[in-house]
Amino acid sequence: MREACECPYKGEELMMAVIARQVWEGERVAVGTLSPIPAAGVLLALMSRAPGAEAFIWFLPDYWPFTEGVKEFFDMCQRGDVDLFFLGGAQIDAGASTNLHCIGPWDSPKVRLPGGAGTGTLYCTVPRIVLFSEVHSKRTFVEKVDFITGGGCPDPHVYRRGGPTLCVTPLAVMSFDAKTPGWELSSRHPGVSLPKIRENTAFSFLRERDAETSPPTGEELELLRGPVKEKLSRAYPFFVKKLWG
Amino acid sequence: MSLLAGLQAGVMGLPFMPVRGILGTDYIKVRPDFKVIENPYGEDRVVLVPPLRPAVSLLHSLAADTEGNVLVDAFDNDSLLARASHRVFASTEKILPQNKLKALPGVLIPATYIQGVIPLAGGGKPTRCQGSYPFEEKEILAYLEAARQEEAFQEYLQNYLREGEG
Repeated sequence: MREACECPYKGEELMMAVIARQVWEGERVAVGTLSPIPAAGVLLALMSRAPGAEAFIWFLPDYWPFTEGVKEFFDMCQRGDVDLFFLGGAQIDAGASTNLHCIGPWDSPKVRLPGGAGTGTLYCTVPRIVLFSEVHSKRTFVEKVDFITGGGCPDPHVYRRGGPTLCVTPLAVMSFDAKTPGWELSSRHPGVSLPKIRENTAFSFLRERDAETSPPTGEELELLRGPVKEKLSRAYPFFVKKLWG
Repeated sequence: MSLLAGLQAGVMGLPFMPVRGILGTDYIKVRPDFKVIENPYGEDRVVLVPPLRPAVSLLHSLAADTEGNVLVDAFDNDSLLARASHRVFASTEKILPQNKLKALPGVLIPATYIQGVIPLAGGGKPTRCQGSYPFEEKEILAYLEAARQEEAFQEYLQNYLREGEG
């Protein structure tokens, strides 16, 4: 997806560094299933800027204190005791709704997807949600999702602690303005042009900031390729092998 | 999440369980059994899910003992499922003498929730089973490929089951 860039790092490593910067010292942060990039980002944060954060990472036993399965973790989120969580979507739309159910209509889908795995509740109960996508295309960033799994701007009567704040993609970082509502382009990744982002996004941005995403530092890259890689491979052996060999 | 809430209602013998969020999503459109009520103790609306009481549940355990206690993975919700179910049958990697399970990592489900234990080494394959074997990448990829077409899938299934018998 990225244009030619003489970068000394991979696109995934940049996304991991961006995610690590979202983790604040002392807070409780969690990473769910099928989220290798957020998992790596959180591990990086623990080893650098936020060693006092408490992290729960699905499928890493050192970061999973629960004995009652994912239920115990969901209960903690529902109580409001987790500060930051990461969610993905096969589609993410202009109103920050996500879709993990189906492409096309529900009763005759083109593709049936795995389902929400807690998205519908976590989106309302965890105060800060950072969205991520390993693909940035018009198929992923749509005007309106085919099925609302996570409601970006839900029913005004629903109890909600916060919501989506940011979305990290292989091309850019976008931040969500819940009041308007809509997405602002916060920064373009190094080597990615504004037209390239517009071409690959089906909705328009409220504002487009002329800023470049800070790349991972040498220290961050060393941590990612050393201790983060080692820990991550327990949960994501194939992802790790593909990215770092 | 709503599935787990339904099981929790089943575990507790309650007629429903409230769940946060969900309102404003399409779950409400496709699940007429999810009901919305005004929170009688607050200002918001809440989604209710019905209780789940499976007649029979099958689960695969890391180990069992001769008393019928079983050990399951802490990442799974098997303990909740077992308590919600009327009858539970657990296949297991190995059967150990009484009191040998406590030293192993995992979650213990007491025999009182279990109706039967079946020794079945490799019963979790081709996915992983903690303490016994890892996830089998090749086998999963073969399954994904075969699952694209009905005929190929049936052939895969026959071969896989036959291998299992051997």
